[in-house]
Order: sequence, then C-alpha cells, then structure tokens
Amino acid sequence: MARYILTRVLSSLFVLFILSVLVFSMVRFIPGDPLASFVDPANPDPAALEALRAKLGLDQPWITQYFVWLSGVLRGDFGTAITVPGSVSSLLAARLPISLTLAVMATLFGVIMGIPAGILAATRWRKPSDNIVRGASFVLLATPPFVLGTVLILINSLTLKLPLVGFAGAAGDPLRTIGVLTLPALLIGLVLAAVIARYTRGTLLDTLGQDFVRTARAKGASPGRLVGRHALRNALIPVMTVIGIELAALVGGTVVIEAVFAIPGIGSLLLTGIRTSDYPIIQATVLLIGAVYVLINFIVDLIYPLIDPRVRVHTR
Amino acid sequence: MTVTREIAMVAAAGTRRRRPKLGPSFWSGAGILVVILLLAGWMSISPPYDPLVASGEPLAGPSGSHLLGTDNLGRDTFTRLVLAARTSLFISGAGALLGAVVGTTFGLIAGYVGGWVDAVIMRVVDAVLALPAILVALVVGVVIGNGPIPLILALGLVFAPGFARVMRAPVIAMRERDFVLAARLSGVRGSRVIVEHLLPNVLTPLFVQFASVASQIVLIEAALSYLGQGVQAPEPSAGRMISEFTRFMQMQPLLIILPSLVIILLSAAWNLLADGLQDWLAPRREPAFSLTGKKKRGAARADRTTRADRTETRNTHTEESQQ
Repeated sequence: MARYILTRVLSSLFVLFILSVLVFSMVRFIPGDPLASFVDPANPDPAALEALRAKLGLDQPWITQYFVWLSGVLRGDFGTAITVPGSVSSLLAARLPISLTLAVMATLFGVIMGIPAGILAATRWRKPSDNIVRGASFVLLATPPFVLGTVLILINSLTLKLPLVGFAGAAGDPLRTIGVLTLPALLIGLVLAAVIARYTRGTLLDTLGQDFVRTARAKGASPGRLVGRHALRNALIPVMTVIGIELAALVGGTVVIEAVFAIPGIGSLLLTGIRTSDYPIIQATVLLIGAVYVLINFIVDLIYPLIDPRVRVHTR
Repeated sequence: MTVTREIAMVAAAGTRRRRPKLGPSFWSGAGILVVILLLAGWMSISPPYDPLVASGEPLAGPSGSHLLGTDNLGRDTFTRLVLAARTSLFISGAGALLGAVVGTTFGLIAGYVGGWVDAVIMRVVDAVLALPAILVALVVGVVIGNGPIPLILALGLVFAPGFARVMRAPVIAMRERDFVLAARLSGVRGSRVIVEHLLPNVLTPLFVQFASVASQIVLIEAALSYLGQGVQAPEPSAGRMISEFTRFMQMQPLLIILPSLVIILLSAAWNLLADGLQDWLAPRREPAFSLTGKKKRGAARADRTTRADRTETRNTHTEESQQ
C-alpha cells in the first residue's frame, strides 16, 4: 500500500512539473506585449518601459524567468498581476472558493439526479422509463450549459422576470453565495447528470448480466435487495471514478457558465487574463486548475483500493 | 456428395457468423450530417441571400421570403444558420481528424515501443488531460489567433492526448500476439508493423473516438465563439449568435432558440454516429433476466419459449444442410 501511494505521489508530481513547463512556455508564445497598456501611444517613453520590464523580470531569459516563477509558486507567491491591481495570489484566493463551491454543488446535483435515473433505466431495461432516461440524457449530452442558461434567462425575461444574473453583494456571504450559485450549478448538474446516468445504466446493466446476480436471484433475493446490495456496489465503482474526473474538470471548466451568469470565479479571471495578455494571471489560473485536477484524481486513486478490494490485490 | 456438403457448410458458415448490421443510431446520425452537408453545399453554391448583407427588415419573424426571419441587422437567419452549421461541421470534422492523426501516431508508438518512450508520452498526455479542454483551447487559441484554421489546430492538439490513450491500450494487448511477433521475426520494420498490422485492428475504436470527439468539438467551438474567442464576426457562428442576440432576445426569441437547436442537432448527430459504431463494435449483452414486477415471469417464459423455438429451427437447419 505504501508503495502504491508513493508511486501515485511521484507520478502526480511529475505531471505537475510537465504541466508547469507547458503552461509557462505556452504563455510566452502569446503575441502582444503585456506592457502595451502602460505605453502612451502619443508619447512613448522607452526608458520608463524598460525600467518597468526590468522591475517585473520580463527582461530575463525564459529559463531564468521560469525558475524565478516556479520558486515563487512553491512558496505560494504567484507574482504580481500586470493589468489588474494586487497580487495574483490574492485574486486567486478571492475567486477559487467561488469556483470550487460551484463545482461541488454542480457535482452534487449531478449525482443526486444522475445515479437514480441510471438505476431506473437499467432496472427497467427497454421499458418506457429506460427510453425516457436515455432520450433525455442524449439530448442533454448535446446541450452546452450556456445554451440551457441563455434559454432559461430568455424564458424568465418573457415570463417571471426573476433576478437571476449577477453576483452583486454575495461576495463574503456564504448563504447568499450558495443562493446565487444554485441556478448555474443546477444547469451544469443537469448536463453532468446525463453523463452519470448513462454511465450508471451501462455498468449496472453489465453487472446485472453477471453470474453472481443470477445466483443471488436463484437463492431468492428480492429485486430491490438484488440491485441495492449486490449489483449496485459493484456497478458504482467505475461511476465513482467518472464523478471524480468530472468534478476535477469542472474547476475552471465552468468558464462559460461563469460568463453567462456574471460569476467572478476562476474561469472569468482566466478570461480577463487572456483578453489583456496578463502572463502571471494566465499562468497561475491554468496551473492552479491543473493542480486541483491532479489533486482530485490523486484522492480518487487513493479511495479506489478502499472501495474496490481487487485493486489492492492487483498492486501487490 | 462431399462437394454438396461442403457447399452447404460454407453457406451455413456464411449466414451464421455475420457481423451485426449498423443500427438506427448510426444511420440517423449520418443522415443528419448528410442533410446539413447538402444544405451547406446549396448555401455555398447559390445562397438565396448574402449572409453578410442586410436583405430585409431587422428582427423580422419568419415569412415567405425569410424562412426563419432576420437578425438585428436584417440579415437572413436561415442562410446564416446553415453557414454557421457548415463552419461548425468543418471545424469539428477537421479538428477531430487532426487529433486522430497526431494522437493515434503517438498512441501507437507509445504502445508498441513501450519503455521510457511510453512513459514520457503518457505523462505528457496526463498533463494535457489535467486541464479542461476548453481552457487549453482558449489559451492555445490566444497564442495562434482566432478563426476556423487556428481553432482546428488548437482543438486538434487538445484532443490528441485522448486519442493517444484510447489507441495505446489495445496495442499493448496486441503487441505480444503471434501475428505481430511473426511480422517482427520476419524482419518487418517497426513503422511498418504499426501501420500495416496494428492500425487496421484498432480502426473501430478509432472511429468511435473520432465521432465522440467531433461532438465535443462542436460544443467547445460553440462555447469559444460565445466567449468571443472562436469564429470571428462577421462570419456566422451559432455560439456567437447566442451571445450577440442576448440583447434582442425579448424582441425576437427565435434568434436565441434557433442557434441553440443547431448546436444541439450537430453535437447529437456526431453522438448518434459514435453510439451506433459502439453498438456495432460491442453489442450490449442482455441482463440475465428482467427485474420488473409481475409481468416478468410471463415475459421470461415467453422469452424462453421463443429461444427454444429458435434453437429448434436452428437444429432443423443443420440437419437439412447435412442431408
């Protein structure tokens, strides 16, 4: 077990290292000078610009810049944003909780709706309820959340006229934050539920086709007990992995829904950074999102042998 | 006697071991894509209206001259939607193709060569997959610019690692199989083993992955265009239409609903194609029995009788062919 954990840790660290190199070099290829907004086009002052460049360390070779940046990152210092006042770390600290809350809420909604729907479909295979679940999840899979959100805002604007968009006044107030995030989380959760339902249905059907289920049935287990105690335990193991991956991908993957509902999360911070070619912001957000993904996957890898004894046997 | 018997056996073998046919999902997905292609061809050769120039009253509803109405500048919505679908279809197809070529190459090499080559390739794959696809596309798009061709490059790069992962697994399983060993022992070069012996055996999962990636690219292209980082104005794009017309949604809701439907239809069509191919590759086994209430016993019995009937008929067939 210790060996298993050690290899997982080393492999995660290596992925993070490659990620940092990728992120750093990718950003350097962005055309456009990040200091462009500091130059008065009518009255350029090359000397002052060079001084600013030196102050921000942008005149150093890339490799030096990389290690200066990396050592800062390891100390939790992501540098200073170029186009926005304040350190990148404080920007991230303000926005990461919002995006994390959104991702967790969306995943919860997805699980609450998706797993029961998947079980329903699998236990009523090729019956009307199966077809309804399959049809609904099929359409939802092809629907981006921002389309759902826009159509919802459209319907709302024509009928109820509830205040749905905007985050004003909710910062720093956990209850209001959750209230404001409910609708976007529900929309992402709906699409996620489609993925989870499809997956649950598939693995549960595979499990129900296996011999041990037939044996349990022959020994007189009721259908409810059969699904709840025998089949579901086995079927949900791969579903857990999918849920972990989806949760990890949602941190930052919510960039579009954040734009639709004007939520100041990590995705919209990245978008700001991209629109103003603000290197430190882009580097920090992308690296952080990647790190959260690697971390969540690492945790899923650790939980896996706990819920599935076969993995433990396999690694020995 | 023996000759007729052999002919009969060949005929029987021919009928029994046939692959299942492609199902309705495949054909409906392919059908939607073909219809969009035909419409796009019509719009490309002789569009009823110039998609970039006003041709009627702004924000008009559907009418005889403008089938789906006009937008805020009076441009024909039908023409623009079909052209948007064409752009989206082109980007998704070409992006998935690029991802497939790059990813398959690396996946096959990683799986076949193994060792440290495999380790390095797969760690880079892990690192790219650690980022949400839309973020990588956003950042790469900023590096190489906006518009259809850079989008194809960015999305192809984003999805190549997924292809590499899907292609590597079956190759590892096949690497030690006799036909590969035989080829290697008879002195066939590694690149030729990969292309001529391994690639043909992984084509079906490759096509499944291709179609499902194309469906994701449709969604990501729409999202990028919605954010203003994808297809640029004045080129028509379903995603950008939604963000542009949000302001006019109360005056003309169709301008939001129609592009949404185009995105859903395109993505669903690719998904149907992927599902159909998947079913064809590995048809799902039926569950051991039905789990639903009272009806099940009768249903099970009916099932058993039909199955018995089927075996009986099959027996008679064999007997007949043996005579």
